[in-house]
Amino acid sequence: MNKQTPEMSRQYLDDYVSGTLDAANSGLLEEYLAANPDDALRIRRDWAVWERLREMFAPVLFEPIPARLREVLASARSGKPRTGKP
Amino acid sequence: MASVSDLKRAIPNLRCYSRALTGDPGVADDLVENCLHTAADIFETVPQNGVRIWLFTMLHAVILRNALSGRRPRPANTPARWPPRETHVADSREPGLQLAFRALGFAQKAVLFLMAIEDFSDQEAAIITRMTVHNVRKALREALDQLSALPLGFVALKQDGSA
Repeated sequence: MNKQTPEMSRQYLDDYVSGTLDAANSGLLEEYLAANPDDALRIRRDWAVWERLREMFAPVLFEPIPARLREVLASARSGKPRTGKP
Repeated sequence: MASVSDLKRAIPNLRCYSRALTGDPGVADDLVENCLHTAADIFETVPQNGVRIWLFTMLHAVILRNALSGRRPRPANTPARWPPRETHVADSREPGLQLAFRALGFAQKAVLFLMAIEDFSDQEAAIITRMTVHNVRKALREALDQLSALPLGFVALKQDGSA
């Protein structure tokens, strides 16, 4: 990782936020963040958004599945011809 | 190969994605239903480890097509619902975040949802949205910049980064 290149730093920061940065570069980035509190703050803000979005959408994941959606799959399972296709 | 169980397991996530992008629970389920009808015809040809990204790719195309057409889908045998209901993805503890998310651009919402909620990588998000990885990264950054600038409690962090 090139700590001196702003564009590279930005890419690494985003990869770090999304959890796709490899362990070696994560270690280097954490050193960089220790010396750059503005970027460290930005990462914490990004993570906060990430977490709040998960909380915001979580209830939808636990809603009962509407019957009409289950029926599409029921007909696929039975092999019967489906007539509801638009 | 994929099974009906794989499709069923994906439905809550597909509904959530569709609702996030359309902002209307009724329309969202209509689009998921359209997607499932197509999926039910060919799912047995899809490898099980690729079914999730396949379903999201198909649903994204359905949602985008509907958005571009500017009209509500109307699957056969589905009664009309009007006016469309407002989405309620959660309670109103954070209406600011909900409103700000809805105000994001289509690509920004899609990429942010796919990566933050569904844990897809930027490469996978690029496949689903048919964007380049560069544009996926750009959309993610724009979305995060807009949401993290909100005057909400969660951005009231101290300078040392603690909440």
